[in-house]
Amino acid sequence: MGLLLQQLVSGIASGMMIGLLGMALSTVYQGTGVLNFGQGALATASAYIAWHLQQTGWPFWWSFVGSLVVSFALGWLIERVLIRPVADAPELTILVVTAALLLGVTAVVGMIWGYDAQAVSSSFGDHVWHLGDAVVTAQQVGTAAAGLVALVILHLVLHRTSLGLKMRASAMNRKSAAYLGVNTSRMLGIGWGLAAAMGAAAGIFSAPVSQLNPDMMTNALLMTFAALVLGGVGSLGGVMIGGVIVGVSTNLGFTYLPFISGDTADVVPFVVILAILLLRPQGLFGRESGARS
Amino acid sequence: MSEPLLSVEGLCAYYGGVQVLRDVSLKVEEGEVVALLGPNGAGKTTLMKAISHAVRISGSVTFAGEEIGRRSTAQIARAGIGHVPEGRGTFTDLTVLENLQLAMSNQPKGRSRSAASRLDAIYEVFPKLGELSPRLAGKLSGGEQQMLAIARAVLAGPRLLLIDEPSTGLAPNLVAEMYERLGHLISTWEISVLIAEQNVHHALGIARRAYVLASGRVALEGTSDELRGNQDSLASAYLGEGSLTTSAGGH
Repeated sequence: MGLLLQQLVSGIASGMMIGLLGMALSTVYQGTGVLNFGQGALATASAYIAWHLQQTGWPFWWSFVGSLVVSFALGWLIERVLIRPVADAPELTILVVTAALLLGVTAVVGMIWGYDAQAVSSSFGDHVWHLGDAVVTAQQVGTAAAGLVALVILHLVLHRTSLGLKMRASAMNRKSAAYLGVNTSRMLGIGWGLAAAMGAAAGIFSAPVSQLNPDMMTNALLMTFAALVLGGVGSLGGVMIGGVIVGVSTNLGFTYLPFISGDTADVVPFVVILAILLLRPQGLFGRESGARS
Repeated sequence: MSEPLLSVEGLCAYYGGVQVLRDVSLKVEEGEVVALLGPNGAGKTTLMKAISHAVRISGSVTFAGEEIGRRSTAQIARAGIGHVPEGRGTFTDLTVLENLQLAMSNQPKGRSRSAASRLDAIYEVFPKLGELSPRLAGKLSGGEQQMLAIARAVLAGPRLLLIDEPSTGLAPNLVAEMYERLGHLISTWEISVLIAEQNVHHALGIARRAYVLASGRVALEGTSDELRGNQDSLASAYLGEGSLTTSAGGH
Protein backbone atom coordinates (compact mmCIF):
# COMPACT_ATOMS: atom_id res chain seq x y z
CA MET A 1 0.00 0.00 0.00
CA GLY A 2 2.85 2.29 0.87
CA LEU A 3 4.48 1.65 -2.47
CA LEU A 4 1.23 2.34 -4.31
CA LEU A 5 0.81 5.63 -2.48
CA GLN A 6 4.41 6.51 -3.16
CA GLN A 7 4.04 5.92 -6.87
CA LEU A 8 0.75 7.80 -6.96
CA VAL A 9 2.24 10.86 -5.26
CA SER A 10 5.32 10.78 -7.47
CA GLY A 11 3.19 10.26 -10.58
CA ILE A 12 0.86 13.13 -9.68
CA ALA A 13 3.79 15.50 -9.14
CA SER A 14 5.52 14.59 -12.42
CA GLY A 15 2.15 14.53 -14.17
CA MET A 16 1.40 18.07 -13.04
CA MET A 17 4.57 19.28 -14.72
CA ILE A 18 3.67 17.36 -17.88
CA GLY A 19 0.25 19.00 -17.66
CA LEU A 20 1.80 22.44 -17.18
CA LEU A 21 3.93 22.02 -20.29
CA GLY A 22 0.82 20.66 -21.99
CA MET A 23 -1.08 23.84 -21.13
CA ALA A 24 1.73 25.79 -22.76
CA LEU A 25 1.47 23.65 -25.89
CA SER A 26 -2.32 23.98 -25.87
CA THR A 27 -2.17 27.78 -25.57
CA VAL A 28 0.10 28.03 -28.61
CA TYR A 29 -1.83 25.45 -30.61
CA GLN A 30 -5.21 27.04 -29.99
CA GLY A 31 -3.91 30.48 -30.83
CA THR A 32 -1.95 29.69 -33.95
CA GLY A 33 -2.66 26.11 -34.95
CA VAL A 34 1.06 25.46 -34.44
CA LEU A 35 2.27 22.39 -32.58
CA ASN A 36 5.45 23.80 -31.10
CA PHE A 37 8.12 21.11 -31.03
CA GLY A 38 10.41 23.66 -29.41
CA GLN A 39 8.21 24.13 -26.30
CA GLY A 40 10.23 21.68 -24.22
CA ALA A 41 13.55 23.19 -25.26
CA LEU A 42 12.27 26.65 -24.29
CA ALA A 43 11.23 25.29 -20.89
CA THR A 44 14.71 23.83 -20.45
CA ALA A 45 16.31 27.16 -21.36
CA SER A 46 14.09 28.88 -18.80
CA ALA A 47 15.17 26.40 -16.13
CA TYR A 48 18.81 27.17 -16.94
CA ILE A 49 18.14 30.92 -16.74
CA ALA A 50 16.61 30.52 -13.28
CA TRP A 51 19.50 28.29 -12.18
CA HIS A 52 22.04 30.79 -13.53
CA LEU A 53 20.41 33.65 -11.65
CA GLN A 54 20.55 31.56 -8.47
CA GLN A 55 24.24 30.84 -9.08
CA THR A 56 24.85 34.60 -9.17
CA GLY A 57 23.25 34.94 -5.76
CA TRP A 58 19.60 35.63 -6.47
CA PRO A 59 17.16 33.96 -4.07
CA PHE A 60 15.17 31.12 -5.66
CA TRP A 61 11.82 32.92 -5.98
CA TRP A 62 13.39 36.04 -7.48
CA SER A 63 15.21 33.78 -9.93
CA PHE A 64 11.89 32.14 -10.69
CA VAL A 65 10.17 35.47 -11.41
CA GLY A 66 13.16 36.71 -13.39
CA SER A 67 13.12 33.61 -15.55
CA LEU A 68 9.36 33.93 -16.11
CA VAL A 69 9.76 37.51 -17.29
CA VAL A 70 12.62 36.66 -19.63
CA SER A 71 10.73 33.61 -20.92
CA PHE A 72 7.61 35.68 -21.65
CA ALA A 73 9.70 38.13 -23.65
CA LEU A 74 11.41 35.28 -25.48
CA GLY A 75 8.08 33.69 -26.37
CA TRP A 76 6.79 37.00 -27.71
CA LEU A 77 9.95 37.50 -29.74
CA ILE A 78 9.87 33.99 -31.20
CA GLU A 79 6.29 34.47 -32.39
CA ARG A 80 7.16 37.82 -33.93
CA VAL A 81 10.42 36.84 -35.62
CA LEU A 82 10.10 33.14 -36.41
CA ILE A 83 6.44 32.16 -36.51
CA ARG A 84 4.60 35.18 -37.91
CA PRO A 85 6.63 35.30 -41.16
CA VAL A 86 5.58 31.70 -41.90
CA ALA A 87 2.02 31.96 -40.55
CA ASP A 88 0.51 31.43 -44.01
CA ALA A 89 2.99 28.79 -45.09
CA PRO A 90 2.07 25.08 -45.32
CA GLU A 91 1.83 23.26 -41.98
CA LEU A 92 4.94 21.23 -42.72
CA THR A 93 6.97 24.43 -43.05
CA ILE A 94 5.79 25.63 -39.65
CA LEU A 95 6.56 22.22 -38.12
CA VAL A 96 10.08 22.43 -39.52
CA VAL A 97 10.50 25.90 -38.02
CA THR A 98 9.50 24.66 -34.56
CA ALA A 99 11.77 21.64 -34.95
CA ALA A 100 14.57 24.06 -35.81
CA LEU A 101 13.66 25.98 -32.67
CA LEU A 102 14.01 22.77 -30.66
CA LEU A 103 17.45 22.01 -32.07
CA GLY A 104 18.64 25.61 -31.98
CA VAL A 105 17.62 26.33 -28.40
CA THR A 106 19.06 23.01 -27.18
CA ALA A 107 22.33 23.77 -28.93
CA VAL A 108 22.53 27.29 -27.49
CA VAL A 109 21.80 25.99 -23.98
CA GLY A 110 24.56 23.40 -24.37
CA MET A 111 27.01 25.98 -25.69
CA ILE A 112 26.38 28.38 -22.83
CA TRP A 113 26.05 25.99 -19.87
CA GLY A 114 27.59 22.75 -21.10
CA TYR A 115 26.08 19.29 -21.60
CA ASP A 116 26.82 17.81 -18.20
CA ALA A 117 23.82 17.23 -15.98
CA GLN A 118 23.60 19.58 -13.01
CA ALA A 119 22.10 18.57 -9.70
CA VAL A 120 19.59 21.18 -8.54
CA SER A 121 18.34 21.39 -4.99
CA SER A 122 14.62 21.25 -4.26
CA SER A 123 12.69 24.44 -4.91
CA PHE A 124 10.59 23.80 -1.78
CA GLY A 125 13.15 22.64 0.77
CA ASP A 126 14.01 19.15 2.04
CA HIS A 127 11.12 18.42 4.36
CA VAL A 128 9.45 15.00 4.06
CA TRP A 129 6.17 13.58 5.35
CA HIS A 130 5.49 9.96 6.12
CA LEU A 131 2.10 8.62 5.05
CA GLY A 132 2.25 5.02 6.24
CA ASP A 133 5.13 3.49 4.31
CA ALA A 134 5.11 6.25 1.71
CA VAL A 135 7.51 9.19 1.82
CA VAL A 136 6.14 12.43 0.41
CA THR A 137 8.68 15.17 -0.22
CA ALA A 138 8.19 18.90 -0.09
CA GLN A 139 9.30 18.98 -3.73
CA GLN A 140 6.44 16.70 -4.75
CA VAL A 141 3.83 18.63 -2.77
CA GLY A 142 5.17 21.97 -3.94
CA THR A 143 5.28 20.87 -7.58
CA ALA A 144 1.70 19.63 -7.46
CA ALA A 145 0.59 22.85 -5.80
CA ALA A 146 2.48 24.94 -8.36
CA GLY A 147 0.69 23.12 -11.16
CA LEU A 148 -2.69 23.82 -9.57
CA VAL A 149 -1.86 27.48 -8.99
CA ALA A 150 -0.76 27.86 -12.62
CA LEU A 151 -3.97 26.23 -13.81
CA VAL A 152 -6.12 28.56 -11.68
CA ILE A 153 -4.21 31.68 -12.76
CA LEU A 154 -4.41 30.79 -16.43
CA HIS A 155 -8.10 29.95 -16.16
CA LEU A 156 -8.81 33.29 -14.46
CA VAL A 157 -6.82 35.22 -17.05
CA LEU A 158 -8.48 33.52 -20.01
CA HIS A 159 -12.04 33.38 -18.66
CA ARG A 160 -12.38 36.35 -16.32
CA THR A 161 -10.52 39.15 -18.05
CA SER A 162 -11.09 41.22 -21.16
CA LEU A 163 -7.58 40.28 -22.32
CA GLY A 164 -8.41 36.61 -22.03
CA LEU A 165 -11.63 37.07 -23.97
CA LYS A 166 -9.73 38.80 -26.78
CA MET A 167 -7.10 36.04 -26.77
CA ARG A 168 -9.72 33.29 -27.02
CA ALA A 169 -11.61 35.12 -29.75
CA SER A 170 -8.42 35.76 -31.73
CA ALA A 171 -7.58 32.07 -31.50
CA MET A 172 -11.01 31.03 -32.77
CA ASN A 173 -11.46 33.47 -35.63
CA ARG A 174 -8.70 35.99 -36.25
CA LYS A 175 -10.55 37.91 -38.96
CA SER A 176 -13.75 38.33 -36.95
CA ALA A 177 -11.74 39.48 -33.96
CA ALA A 178 -10.00 42.08 -36.11
CA TYR A 179 -13.38 43.30 -37.42
CA LEU A 180 -14.19 44.07 -33.78
CA GLY A 181 -10.99 46.06 -33.32
CA VAL A 182 -8.91 43.40 -31.58
CA ASN A 183 -5.19 43.63 -32.27
CA THR A 184 -4.83 39.94 -33.05
CA SER A 185 -1.08 40.14 -33.65
CA ARG A 186 -0.64 41.43 -30.11
CA MET A 187 -2.88 38.64 -28.78
CA LEU A 188 -0.76 36.04 -30.54
CA GLY A 189 2.40 37.49 -29.07
CA ILE A 190 0.89 37.46 -25.60
CA GLY A 191 -0.23 33.85 -26.13
CA TRP A 192 3.29 32.75 -27.02
CA GLY A 193 4.70 34.74 -24.11
CA LEU A 194 2.26 33.15 -21.66
CA ALA A 195 3.04 29.70 -23.03
CA ALA A 196 6.76 30.28 -22.61
CA ALA A 197 6.22 31.45 -19.04
CA MET A 198 4.16 28.33 -18.25
CA GLY A 199 6.85 26.19 -19.80
CA ALA A 200 9.40 28.01 -17.68
CA ALA A 201 7.52 27.07 -14.52
CA ALA A 202 7.37 23.45 -15.67
CA GLY A 203 11.09 23.40 -16.40
CA ILE A 204 12.14 25.11 -13.16
CA PHE A 205 10.08 22.80 -10.94
CA SER A 206 11.12 19.68 -12.89
CA ALA A 207 14.87 20.40 -12.63
CA PRO A 208 15.36 19.10 -9.05
CA VAL A 209 13.82 15.76 -10.08
CA SER A 210 15.25 15.13 -13.55
CA GLN A 211 18.53 17.04 -13.11
CA LEU A 212 19.29 20.04 -15.23
CA ASN A 213 20.51 19.05 -18.69
CA PRO A 214 19.90 20.45 -22.21
CA ASP A 215 17.50 17.62 -23.13
CA MET A 216 15.61 17.73 -19.84
CA MET A 217 12.16 18.83 -21.04
CA THR A 218 12.54 17.69 -24.64
CA ASN A 219 12.40 14.10 -23.42
CA ALA A 220 9.09 14.90 -21.77
CA LEU A 221 7.62 16.41 -24.93
CA LEU A 222 6.17 13.17 -26.28
CA MET A 223 4.42 12.60 -22.96
CA THR A 224 3.17 16.16 -23.13
CA PHE A 225 1.64 15.65 -26.59
CA ALA A 226 -0.02 12.56 -25.18
CA ALA A 227 -1.44 14.53 -22.24
CA LEU A 228 -2.74 17.16 -24.65
CA VAL A 229 -4.55 14.62 -26.78
CA LEU A 230 -5.84 12.69 -23.78
CA GLY A 231 -7.14 15.71 -21.90
CA GLY A 232 -8.55 17.39 -24.96
CA VAL A 233 -7.16 20.46 -26.67
CA GLY A 234 -9.05 23.49 -25.47
CA SER A 235 -9.56 22.26 -21.93
CA LEU A 236 -6.85 23.48 -19.56
CA GLY A 237 -8.10 21.32 -16.72
CA GLY A 238 -8.36 18.40 -19.12
CA VAL A 239 -4.73 18.78 -20.17
CA MET A 240 -3.66 18.87 -16.51
CA ILE A 241 -5.67 15.74 -15.77
CA GLY A 242 -4.22 14.17 -18.89
CA GLY A 243 -0.75 14.94 -17.58
CA VAL A 244 -1.54 13.35 -14.22
CA ILE A 245 -2.88 10.22 -15.92
CA VAL A 246 0.31 10.01 -17.98
CA GLY A 247 2.52 10.49 -14.92
CA VAL A 248 0.65 8.06 -12.72
CA SER A 249 0.23 5.34 -15.36
CA THR A 250 3.94 5.49 -16.21
CA ASN A 251 4.91 5.03 -12.57
CA LEU A 252 2.36 2.31 -11.86
CA GLY A 253 3.20 0.45 -15.05
CA PHE A 254 6.88 0.45 -14.21
CA THR A 255 6.19 -0.69 -10.65
CA TYR A 256 3.48 -3.31 -11.12
CA LEU A 257 3.75 -4.72 -14.64
CA PRO A 258 6.51 -7.36 -14.64
CA PHE A 259 7.14 -7.11 -18.38
CA ILE A 260 7.67 -3.34 -18.17
CA SER A 261 11.20 -2.07 -17.58
CA GLY A 262 12.67 1.42 -17.38
CA ASP A 263 12.98 1.61 -21.16
CA THR A 264 9.46 0.48 -21.89
CA ALA A 265 7.59 2.22 -19.06
CA ASP A 266 6.81 5.13 -21.38
CA VAL A 267 4.63 2.83 -23.49
CA VAL A 268 2.10 2.35 -20.68
CA PRO A 269 0.45 5.77 -20.83
CA PHE A 270 0.06 5.49 -24.58
CA VAL A 271 -1.83 2.24 -24.21
CA VAL A 272 -4.12 3.96 -21.69
CA ILE A 273 -4.56 6.92 -24.04
CA LEU A 274 -5.42 4.75 -27.03
CA ALA A 275 -8.05 2.97 -24.98
CA ILE A 276 -9.66 6.26 -23.93
CA LEU A 277 -9.51 7.79 -27.39
CA LEU A 278 -11.32 4.81 -28.84
CA LEU A 279 -14.25 5.77 -26.64
CA ARG A 280 -13.84 9.56 -26.75
CA PRO A 281 -11.85 10.66 -29.83
CA GLN A 282 -11.98 14.30 -28.70
CA GLY A 283 -10.21 13.42 -25.46
CA LEU A 284 -11.61 13.33 -21.94
CA PHE A 285 -12.63 16.99 -21.83
CA GLY A 286 -12.27 18.14 -25.41
CA ARG A 287 -15.38 19.58 -27.02
CA GLU A 288 -17.01 18.15 -30.08
CA SER A 289 -17.60 20.72 -32.81
CA GLY A 290 -19.98 23.38 -31.50
CA ALA A 291 -21.46 24.39 -34.83
CA ARG A 292 -24.94 23.30 -35.79
CA SER A 293 -25.21 21.65 -39.17
CA MET B 1 -22.25 70.18 -48.89
CA SER B 2 -20.54 68.05 -46.22
CA GLU B 3 -18.09 65.39 -47.34
CA PRO B 4 -19.28 61.78 -47.40
CA LEU B 5 -18.73 59.61 -44.34
CA LEU B 6 -17.15 56.96 -46.59
CA SER B 7 -15.55 57.69 -49.92
CA VAL B 8 -13.96 55.02 -52.07
CA GLU B 9 -12.03 56.18 -55.14
CA GLY B 10 -10.46 54.01 -57.80
CA LEU B 11 -10.32 50.98 -55.52
CA CYS B 12 -8.71 47.82 -56.83
CA ALA B 13 -8.43 44.60 -54.84
CA TYR B 14 -6.34 41.50 -55.32
CA TYR B 15 -6.26 37.89 -54.16
CA GLY B 16 -2.63 37.00 -54.63
CA GLY B 17 -1.85 38.02 -58.19
CA VAL B 18 -5.47 38.03 -59.34
CA GLN B 19 -7.23 41.38 -59.58
CA VAL B 20 -10.82 41.06 -58.38
CA LEU B 21 -12.00 44.65 -58.10
CA ARG B 22 -11.37 47.16 -60.85
CA ASP B 23 -11.44 50.88 -60.24
CA VAL B 24 -14.47 50.94 -57.92
CA SER B 25 -15.72 54.27 -56.62
CA LEU B 26 -18.63 54.80 -54.27
CA LYS B 27 -19.69 56.90 -51.32
CA VAL B 28 -21.89 56.65 -48.25
CA GLU B 29 -23.21 59.82 -46.63
CA GLU B 30 -23.65 60.22 -42.87
CA GLY B 31 -26.93 58.59 -41.81
CA GLU B 32 -27.42 56.87 -45.17
CA VAL B 33 -28.15 53.24 -45.98
CA VAL B 34 -26.57 52.20 -49.27
CA ALA B 35 -26.97 48.79 -50.89
CA LEU B 36 -24.37 46.91 -52.86
CA LEU B 37 -26.07 44.58 -55.32
CA GLY B 38 -24.87 42.10 -57.87
CA PRO B 39 -24.75 38.41 -58.72
CA ASN B 40 -22.45 35.81 -57.17
CA GLY B 41 -18.84 36.57 -57.93
CA ALA B 42 -19.47 40.22 -58.72
CA GLY B 43 -17.07 41.35 -56.01
CA LYS B 44 -19.46 42.52 -53.27
CA THR B 45 -17.75 40.62 -50.46
CA THR B 46 -14.34 41.58 -51.80
CA LEU B 47 -15.35 45.24 -51.77
CA MET B 48 -16.49 44.93 -48.16
CA LYS B 49 -13.20 43.27 -47.25
CA ALA B 50 -11.29 45.91 -49.20
CA ILE B 51 -12.87 48.73 -47.19
CA SER B 52 -11.84 46.89 -44.00
CA HIS B 53 -8.41 46.24 -45.54
CA ALA B 54 -8.80 42.52 -45.18
CA VAL B 55 -7.45 42.04 -48.73
CA ARG B 56 -4.65 43.69 -50.65
CA ILE B 57 -5.83 46.94 -52.24
CA SER B 58 -4.77 49.95 -54.20
CA GLY B 59 -6.74 53.18 -54.47
CA SER B 60 -8.24 55.43 -51.86
CA VAL B 61 -10.56 54.75 -48.94
CA THR B 62 -11.50 57.82 -46.93
CA PHE B 63 -13.56 57.63 -43.75
CA ALA B 64 -14.70 60.70 -41.81
CA GLY B 65 -12.19 62.77 -43.73
CA GLU B 66 -9.21 60.50 -43.05
CA GLU B 67 -7.45 58.19 -45.48
CA ILE B 68 -7.64 54.71 -43.96
CA GLY B 69 -6.49 52.54 -46.85
CA ARG B 70 -3.13 51.78 -45.22
CA ARG B 71 -4.45 50.99 -41.76
CA SER B 72 -4.91 47.48 -40.40
CA THR B 73 -8.33 45.85 -40.15
CA ALA B 74 -8.40 46.31 -36.37
CA GLN B 75 -7.41 49.98 -36.66
CA ILE B 76 -10.18 50.58 -39.19
CA ALA B 77 -12.66 48.93 -36.83
CA ARG B 78 -11.51 51.13 -33.95
CA ALA B 79 -11.83 54.17 -36.22
CA GLY B 80 -15.55 53.44 -36.48
CA ILE B 81 -16.22 50.95 -39.30
CA GLY B 82 -18.00 47.81 -38.14
CA HIS B 83 -18.13 44.70 -40.28
CA VAL B 84 -20.65 41.87 -40.24
CA PRO B 85 -18.86 39.35 -42.44
CA GLU B 86 -20.37 36.91 -44.87
CA GLY B 87 -21.03 33.69 -42.96
CA ARG B 88 -21.61 35.68 -39.73
CA GLY B 89 -18.21 34.99 -38.16
CA THR B 90 -19.50 34.38 -34.65
CA PHE B 91 -17.09 32.87 -32.13
CA THR B 92 -18.67 29.48 -31.84
CA ASP B 93 -16.96 28.42 -28.61
CA LEU B 94 -17.86 31.65 -26.83
CA THR B 95 -21.29 32.23 -25.34
CA VAL B 96 -23.70 34.76 -26.80
CA LEU B 97 -22.89 37.11 -23.92
CA GLU B 98 -19.14 36.70 -24.44
CA ASN B 99 -19.54 37.49 -28.15
CA LEU B 100 -21.35 40.69 -27.19
CA GLN B 101 -18.91 41.58 -24.40
CA LEU B 102 -16.03 41.29 -26.82
CA ALA B 103 -17.62 43.91 -29.02
CA MET B 104 -17.94 46.30 -26.11
CA SER B 105 -14.28 45.93 -25.12
CA ASN B 106 -13.00 48.02 -28.05
CA GLN B 107 -15.17 51.09 -28.13
CA PRO B 108 -14.19 53.63 -30.80
CA LYS B 109 -13.39 57.12 -29.54
CA GLY B 110 -16.31 59.40 -28.88
CA ARG B 111 -18.92 56.68 -28.30
CA SER B 112 -19.32 56.62 -24.55
CA ARG B 113 -22.73 55.10 -23.83
CA SER B 114 -22.32 52.77 -20.87
CA ALA B 115 -21.82 49.07 -21.54
CA ALA B 116 -24.84 47.98 -19.53
CA SER B 117 -27.18 50.43 -21.23
CA ARG B 118 -25.91 49.42 -24.67
CA LEU B 119 -26.44 45.76 -23.89
CA ASP B 120 -29.97 46.47 -22.65
CA ALA B 121 -30.71 48.45 -25.79
CA ILE B 122 -29.52 45.57 -27.98
CA TYR B 123 -31.64 43.08 -26.04
CA GLU B 124 -34.66 45.33 -26.67
CA VAL B 125 -34.13 44.97 -30.41
CA PHE B 126 -33.11 41.29 -30.22
CA PRO B 127 -34.87 39.90 -27.12
CA LYS B 128 -34.03 36.34 -28.22
CA LEU B 129 -30.34 37.10 -27.62
CA GLY B 130 -31.09 37.91 -24.01
CA GLU B 131 -32.71 34.51 -23.54
CA LEU B 132 -29.82 32.80 -25.32
CA SER B 133 -27.01 34.70 -23.59
CA PRO B 134 -25.46 31.70 -21.78
CA ARG B 135 -25.56 29.46 -24.86
CA LEU B 136 -22.52 28.81 -27.03
CA ALA B 137 -22.79 30.72 -30.28
CA GLY B 138 -22.05 27.55 -32.22
CA LYS B 139 -25.25 26.00 -30.89
CA LEU B 140 -27.48 28.76 -32.32
CA SER B 141 -29.54 28.46 -35.47
CA GLY B 142 -28.48 30.32 -38.60
CA GLY B 143 -30.97 33.10 -37.98
CA GLU B 144 -29.93 33.47 -34.35
CA GLN B 145 -26.26 33.61 -35.35
CA GLN B 146 -27.04 36.32 -37.87
CA MET B 147 -28.84 38.35 -35.20
CA LEU B 148 -25.85 37.87 -32.92
CA ALA B 149 -23.39 38.93 -35.62
CA ILE B 150 -25.35 42.13 -36.30
CA ALA B 151 -25.91 42.89 -32.62
CA ARG B 152 -22.23 42.35 -31.90
CA ALA B 153 -21.12 44.66 -34.68
CA VAL B 154 -23.54 47.39 -33.55
CA LEU B 155 -22.44 47.07 -29.93
CA ALA B 156 -18.90 47.93 -30.96
CA GLY B 157 -20.25 51.43 -31.60
CA PRO B 158 -19.45 52.00 -35.27
CA ARG B 159 -20.42 55.08 -37.28
CA LEU B 160 -20.54 52.95 -40.42
CA LEU B 161 -21.63 49.33 -40.55
CA LEU B 162 -20.69 47.02 -43.39
CA ILE B 163 -23.11 44.10 -43.60
CA ASP B 164 -22.21 41.32 -46.01
CA GLU B 165 -24.99 39.12 -47.40
CA PRO B 166 -27.04 38.84 -44.20
CA SER B 167 -29.87 36.86 -45.78
CA THR B 168 -27.71 34.02 -47.10
CA GLY B 169 -28.96 30.65 -45.89
CA LEU B 170 -31.98 32.06 -44.05
CA ALA B 171 -35.60 31.11 -44.58
CA PRO B 172 -37.74 33.87 -46.15
CA ASN B 173 -39.69 34.54 -42.95
CA LEU B 174 -36.42 34.94 -41.02
CA VAL B 175 -35.06 37.29 -43.68
CA ALA B 176 -38.11 39.51 -43.36
CA GLU B 177 -37.83 39.51 -39.56
CA MET B 178 -34.13 40.27 -39.72
CA TYR B 179 -34.63 43.23 -42.03
CA GLU B 180 -37.41 44.58 -39.85
CA ARG B 181 -35.11 44.50 -36.81
CA LEU B 182 -32.22 45.88 -38.83
CA GLY B 183 -34.30 48.85 -39.91
CA HIS B 184 -35.26 49.53 -36.29
CA LEU B 185 -31.63 49.21 -35.22
CA ILE B 186 -30.37 51.62 -37.85
CA SER B 187 -32.87 54.31 -36.92
CA THR B 188 -32.38 53.85 -33.16
CA TRP B 189 -28.60 53.72 -33.15
CA GLU B 190 -28.11 56.28 -35.97
CA ILE B 191 -25.67 54.18 -37.94
CA SER B 192 -24.78 54.57 -41.57
CA VAL B 193 -24.85 51.28 -43.44
CA LEU B 194 -23.36 49.73 -46.55
CA ILE B 195 -25.14 46.43 -47.11
CA ALA B 196 -24.20 43.81 -49.69
CA GLU B 197 -27.13 41.69 -50.81
CA GLN B 198 -28.29 39.37 -53.54
CA ASN B 199 -31.88 39.83 -52.31
CA VAL B 200 -32.69 42.95 -54.31
CA HIS B 201 -36.18 43.36 -52.89
CA HIS B 202 -35.10 43.59 -49.26
CA ALA B 203 -31.95 45.57 -50.00
CA LEU B 204 -33.80 48.27 -51.94
CA GLY B 205 -36.49 48.28 -49.25
CA ILE B 206 -34.01 49.42 -46.64
CA ALA B 207 -31.54 51.43 -48.71
CA ARG B 208 -31.81 54.92 -50.14
CA ARG B 209 -29.24 54.32 -52.88
CA ALA B 210 -27.56 51.34 -54.41
CA TYR B 211 -24.62 50.33 -56.53
CA VAL B 212 -24.70 47.26 -58.74
CA LEU B 213 -21.43 45.43 -59.12
CA ALA B 214 -20.63 43.12 -62.02
CA SER B 215 -17.28 41.49 -62.73
CA GLY B 216 -15.54 43.63 -60.16
CA ARG B 217 -16.78 46.97 -61.46
CA VAL B 218 -19.67 49.32 -60.66
CA ALA B 219 -22.09 48.65 -63.51
CA LEU B 220 -25.04 50.69 -62.34
CA GLU B 221 -25.90 53.14 -59.58
CA GLY B 222 -28.88 55.16 -58.51
CA THR B 223 -31.52 55.70 -55.88
CA SER B 224 -33.65 52.75 -54.86
CA ASP B 225 -36.66 54.24 -56.67
CA GLU B 226 -34.65 54.73 -59.84
CA LEU B 227 -33.38 51.15 -59.76
CA ARG B 228 -36.83 49.72 -59.04
CA GLY B 229 -38.19 51.74 -61.94
CA ASN B 230 -35.48 50.60 -64.32
CA GLN B 231 -35.71 46.81 -64.17
CA ASP B 232 -34.13 46.38 -67.63
CA SER B 233 -30.96 48.20 -66.63
CA LEU B 234 -30.86 46.27 -63.36
CA ALA B 235 -31.23 42.94 -65.13
CA SER B 236 -28.56 43.87 -67.67
CA ALA B 237 -26.18 44.83 -64.92
CA TYR B 238 -26.79 41.48 -63.16
CA LEU B 239 -26.19 39.64 -66.40
CA GLY B 240 -22.99 41.59 -67.00
CA GLU B 241 -24.30 43.17 -70.12
CA GLY B 242 -23.41 46.75 -70.99
CA SER B 243 -20.14 48.42 -69.99
CA LEU B 244 -18.90 51.13 -67.67
CA THR B 245 -20.94 52.78 -64.99
CA THR B 246 -24.47 53.75 -65.81
CA SER B 247 -26.82 55.74 -63.68
CA ALA B 248 -30.24 54.11 -63.31
CA GLY B 249 -31.78 57.54 -63.50
CA GLY B 250 -30.30 58.05 -66.92
CA HIS B 251 -27.88 60.83 -65.83
